[in-house]
Amino acid sequence: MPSIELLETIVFPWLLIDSGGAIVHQKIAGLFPIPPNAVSEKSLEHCIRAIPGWSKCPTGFSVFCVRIADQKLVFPGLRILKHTDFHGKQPEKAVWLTQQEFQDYLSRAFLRIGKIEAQTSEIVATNVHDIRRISTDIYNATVKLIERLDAGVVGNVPLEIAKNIDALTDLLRNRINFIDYLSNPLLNDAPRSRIKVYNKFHKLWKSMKPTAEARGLTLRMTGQSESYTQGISNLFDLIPYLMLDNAVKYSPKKETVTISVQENEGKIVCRVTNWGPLLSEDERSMIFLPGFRGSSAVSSGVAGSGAGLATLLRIVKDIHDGELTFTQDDTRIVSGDNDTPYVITHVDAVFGKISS
Amino acid sequence: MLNWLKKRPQLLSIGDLQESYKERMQSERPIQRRRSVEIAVIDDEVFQPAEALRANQFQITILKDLSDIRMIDRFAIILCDLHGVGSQLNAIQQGAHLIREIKSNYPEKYVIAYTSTGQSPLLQAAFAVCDGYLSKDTRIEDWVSELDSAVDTLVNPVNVWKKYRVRLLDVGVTPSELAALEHAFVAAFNKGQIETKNRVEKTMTDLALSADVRAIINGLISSVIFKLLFP
Repeated sequence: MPSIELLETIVFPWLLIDSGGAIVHQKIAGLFPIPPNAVSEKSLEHCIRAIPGWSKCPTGFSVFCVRIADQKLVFPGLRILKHTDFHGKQPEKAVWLTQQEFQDYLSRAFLRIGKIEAQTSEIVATNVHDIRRISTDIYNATVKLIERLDAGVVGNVPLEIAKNIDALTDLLRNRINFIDYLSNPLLNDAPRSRIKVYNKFHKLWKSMKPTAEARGLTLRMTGQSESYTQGISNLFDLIPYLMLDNAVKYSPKKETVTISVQENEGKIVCRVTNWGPLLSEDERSMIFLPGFRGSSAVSSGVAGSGAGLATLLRIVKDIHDGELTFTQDDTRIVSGDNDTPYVITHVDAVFGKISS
Repeated sequence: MLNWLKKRPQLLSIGDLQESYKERMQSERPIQRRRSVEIAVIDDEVFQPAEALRANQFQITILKDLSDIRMIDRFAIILCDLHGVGSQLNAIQQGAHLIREIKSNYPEKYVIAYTSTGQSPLLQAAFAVCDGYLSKDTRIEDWVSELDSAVDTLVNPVNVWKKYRVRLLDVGVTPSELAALEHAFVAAFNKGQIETKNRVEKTMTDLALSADVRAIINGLISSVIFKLLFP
C-alpha cells in the first residue's frame, strides 16, 4: 500500500475506501478539482459500491476504481470522451480524456510510486544493515577491550582495540551524515570553511583500514598534498567515505584498493582505484544517476541502493564545485564470483585550491 | 611631470597588510593564537569536546544560556547549540534566534552553530547568519581545524577590515573617506594597537564623520577582535 503522501502526487481527485465501505482518505482538490455534482450523496454512494474498472455515477460523470491491497482507490468526477454523459454546466477548466489516456497516466503514476518506494526501502534497508554491522563490530570490540582491561592487560593490545573502536565510530558517523544529507537538503546551505583535502582522505583511510582488512583487502594510500579547498566539513567527509565504501564493497577479496591524493595543474586530484564490476558502454554514462546499478554489480550479489555514487556526485559537484569522473580499464577483464566480470576502475574527484 | 607624479602622497590599501599577516602566521605557532582567543560555548547540555579542546590550548568557557547578550562581550568566537538554548527569548527559533541576536549586536564575532539533529527549520535560520556549522558528533580534529580556521580569520587584519569596509559604505561613508580611514589603519598597523587606534580616531575627527560611522569604527577599535589583530 503506497503512502498517502505518494498517492497525493496523483493529479486527479480520489477517494480511498476501506473494505467496510468507509472513506479513509480523500484528495478533493488538485490540478483537476472535483465537480460538486460528482460528490453528491448518490454519487458518493456509487463510488463506495464501485467495483474495479470503469462505471458511471448517477450524475453522469465517469468513475474509475482500482484495488490497492484490501482497499479501493476511486476516481470520481472524471470527464471521459465517449463515456461521460453529464450535461450540466461545465466549468471553464474541464479536461476531457479518453479511457486509455487516463489508464496510461495512472499506470505511469503507480510505476513511479512503486520505484520511489522500492528505492526508499532499499536505502533504508542498506543503511540499517550497514549501521547494524558497524554497531555489532563496535560492541564486540568494546567487549574485547573490557575483557583485556579486566585481565590487567596494558600496552599495545588495548590501545589497538580502542583505535579500532574509534575507527568504527568514524564509519558510523559518516553513515549517519549520509542519511542526514539524503533526508535534509538544507545542509547544502551550511557556511563553507577551508578543508585540507589530504587529511580528510587520510583520516578515512585509517578508519576504513580495519574493515577492509577484515574483508581480506589491502587499503593503500599514496600521494601528497598540503592544499585546502572550500567546503562544508561534515559533508566533505562523505566524499572519501562514499568513494572508499563503494570500492571496498565491490572489490573481490585479497585485492588492493588504492587512494591517491595529489596536486596537478593547480587542482587537488583524489583518486580511488580498485577492481570493480565491469560497466558496459551504455551503463557508463548512467553510473552517477540516482538508483542506477550496473548489471555486473547486481550479478555480483553485493547489496546496494544506487544512492551512494549519485549522492557523491551531488556533494562533489554542487557543493564543492569539483569534478567527478569514472573510468575503467577494459583491456583486462577477469571473472569473479557468480561469473561477474571485473576490471580496474578509477573514480576521480578533483577540487580547486584556495590559499591556506 | 613624472617627478610630480612620484611626489604625490600614495594612499596605502588594506592589501598592503597581507605580507605582515603572512609573516605573523609563519612566525607564530597556532597554539599561541589559540591561547589568545576567548571562546564561549552556549549549550544547555554537557559540551563533550570541551576537555579535549582545552587540552589543545583553546580557551573555552561554558555558558549554559544567555540571559543578557552582553555576557558574550569578551569572547571572539561563539559556539552555539541550536537546540535547548535561547528558549526564553524565542521558544521556536531557540539557538538560531540567539545567533541572530549575537550577529546583529556583534557582527565582528565568529559564530559557529552546531546541532545533533539534521532536519530542522532552525538550520535554515542559523545558516543565514552564522559563520560555521558542525554536527554535534564532529571529531575533535575537525573541531580543532574549524576553530583554527576561525582564529586565523579573526586575526587577519585584511579580512576584518574588508568586512568593516562593507559596513562603513552601508552607512554612507564616501569612497574617499573610506580610503583615508584605510590608509590610517594600514599606515599605523605595524606600530601596534595603540598607535593604530589613535591614528584612526584622529582621521575620523579630521574627516568629521557622522555619528553612525563613528559608532561603527569605535565598535571596532574597542572590540576584542581589534586586540587580536596585533601579535
